[in-house]
Amino acid sequence: MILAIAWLLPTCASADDVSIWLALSELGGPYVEAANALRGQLAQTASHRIDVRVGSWQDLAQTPGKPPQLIVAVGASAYRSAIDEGQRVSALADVPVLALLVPRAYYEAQAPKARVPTSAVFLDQPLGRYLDLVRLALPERRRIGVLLGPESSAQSAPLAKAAAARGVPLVSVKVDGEDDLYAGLRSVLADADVLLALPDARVFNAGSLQNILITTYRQRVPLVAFAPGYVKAGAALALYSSPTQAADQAAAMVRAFLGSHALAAPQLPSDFSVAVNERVARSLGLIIADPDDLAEQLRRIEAQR
Amino acid sequence: MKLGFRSRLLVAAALPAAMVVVLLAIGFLDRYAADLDHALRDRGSAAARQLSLAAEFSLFTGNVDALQRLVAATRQGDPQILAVAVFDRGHESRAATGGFSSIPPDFSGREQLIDAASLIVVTPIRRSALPVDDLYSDVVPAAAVPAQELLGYAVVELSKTGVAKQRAEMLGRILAITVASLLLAILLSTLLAASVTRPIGHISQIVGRIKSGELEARAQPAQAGVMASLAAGINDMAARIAFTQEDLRQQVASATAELRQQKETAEQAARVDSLTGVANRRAFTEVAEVEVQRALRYGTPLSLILIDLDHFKSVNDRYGHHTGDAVLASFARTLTEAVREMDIVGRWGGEEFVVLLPGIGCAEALQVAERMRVTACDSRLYVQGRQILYTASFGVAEFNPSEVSFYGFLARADAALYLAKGNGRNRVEAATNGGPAAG
Repeated sequence: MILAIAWLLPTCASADDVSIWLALSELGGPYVEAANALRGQLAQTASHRIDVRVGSWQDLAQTPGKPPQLIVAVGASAYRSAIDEGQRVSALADVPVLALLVPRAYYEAQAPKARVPTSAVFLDQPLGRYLDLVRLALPERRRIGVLLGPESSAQSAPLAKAAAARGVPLVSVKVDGEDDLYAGLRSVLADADVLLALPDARVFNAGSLQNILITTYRQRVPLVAFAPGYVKAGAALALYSSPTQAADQAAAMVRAFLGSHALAAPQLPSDFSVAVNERVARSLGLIIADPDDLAEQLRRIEAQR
Repeated sequence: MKLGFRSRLLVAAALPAAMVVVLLAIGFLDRYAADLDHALRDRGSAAARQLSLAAEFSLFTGNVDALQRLVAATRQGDPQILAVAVFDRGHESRAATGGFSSIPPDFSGREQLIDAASLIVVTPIRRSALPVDDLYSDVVPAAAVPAQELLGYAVVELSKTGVAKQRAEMLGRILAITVASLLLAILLSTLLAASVTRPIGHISQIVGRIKSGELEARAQPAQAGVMASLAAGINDMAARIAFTQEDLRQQVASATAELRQQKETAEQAARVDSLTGVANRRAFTEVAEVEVQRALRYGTPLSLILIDLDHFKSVNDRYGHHTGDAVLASFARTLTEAVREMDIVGRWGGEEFVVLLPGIGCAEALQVAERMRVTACDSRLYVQGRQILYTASFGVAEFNPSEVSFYGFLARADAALYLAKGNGRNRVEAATNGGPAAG
């Protein structure tokens, strides 16, 4: 009987169609990739018939009809629109928001404003995963340097803890921004033999990246970054979760939500990818393993932990 | 005239060439100067832009040594660059080399002309953006990180003296080309002019010779060159003139000869007896007067023979005048053949003849007269198949200087002839050497 009820409940739920909005920051690039992956995953959901509507926040908000059960905000600006403007629309006043492809710091800064339940799959990787990757990919580069700016200084303590747990020497330097960036960079590079870049728009941005890359290259120090674009620009390594990987994780959270009608807590990405710039690695005299192998080894290490 | 002609041709050929060259040179120089200015500006801009790109990182790192090296290298890279500097965004100089004519430079514009001698180019140094597909940037408003943030300025001052020098060099080159092309034009036009003036000179020389009467002068086709047809025409004309003149000359000559002959014939007719061919009475008298004067002057002997045919009237009556004329002519021939070249035979009238013998005395004259008498007597004259016999009587006189005149002399000879007639005819009688009273 319980089983029967358990079996019936989703069936009953499927009887009234579940509506989910996918609000995209931009109708292109990684956002569309994530949306497509998410829609594909949700279409395979056996328990419910899910009506997925995809568009920018403005498109979706202006569509007349029943409000959705869940809003999935793909991208930081979509997330901000959902919690800022969603509150002004009475029909959406209590629709939960699941954020995808958002930086953790941003989500946490915006979360207090939200009047609805929210959750997220963050862009940020667990700090320990970076340290494990450096140890795996560049075993002889023992001293890991980190430049922390105003937006990433909060990571200082967790990072130190993760480093200590792994017995990795960490060189952590704090900078205020543009003006002392080079001085901070020099003091890090004077001591470290690999530079780990953590997301901080005040330190790593389009304007500063070239000079940072030149400086590290001249010091023959590889840069380990947090996005594949950095590898293309000249970083030796990057650790990141692809939109598809994030979407898969989000799909699981959506299914859980449909079952429990409650959103799980925000999560760091569980699956990830590694990118290597072989040309830069060769120029720096580094031999770096295949990125897929590195990702696989990392997953094994995390599974053991 | 020839020089004038040649120089006129020369000007006609060289002046348009010179004008074209000068106009071309002016246009080209103008364009070239503008190009040089542009090129200098472009060089300055390129140097400043290159410096701005190279200096970006050194400005970011604050590496003054590196900036100084960059600045020095930029200056060394181009001899036209006088001064190079890098300023930060606060307009503070970070590195500089060379002396600027204007410090601080004007940061507002792109480039400034300080004076005619130099040019300052100011290029902003901007941070080169390296956009990354970074999902984190989704949260950062675009304005927060100015991708093209200004870092400072690259300033380059260029000397325009090089340009001026190049312009002067180009001007010199153009002048040299102009002069060379003018010389070439002059040379060519001289050659061309010579091809006209030389034939004209030759032809005019020929015309001059023809004018001075040298009608056989002819232009040489080889020397007439392009004026060959003119030369041929002048040759034809000269030939026609020469022909006409020769024709005239011949006509005049023949007319003159005819006149002379007519005159001589007339004169001859006046002095010669037409029947006998010996001197007539008037001619004989003239010569005799002259010989008398000569005999008087030099005291040379002079003899005169007066002859009369015997019974000539009866010959006329018997045989007719025609026969009488033949006798007269025959007798005159006999007389002429009997005397020397210098002696003079004349017909005195009717059947009377006279012979003057200069340089001969009475005795020799008698012998001459005797010979004549014998010859006449022995002559066998046939007229119309009939033999005519005739004789003549001779009176001989020698000139006596006391006589002074020819007529006294003649009178004595006549007296001697009368004597011979009286003494039976067909004989010779000498006159007395005295006065006429003796005759």
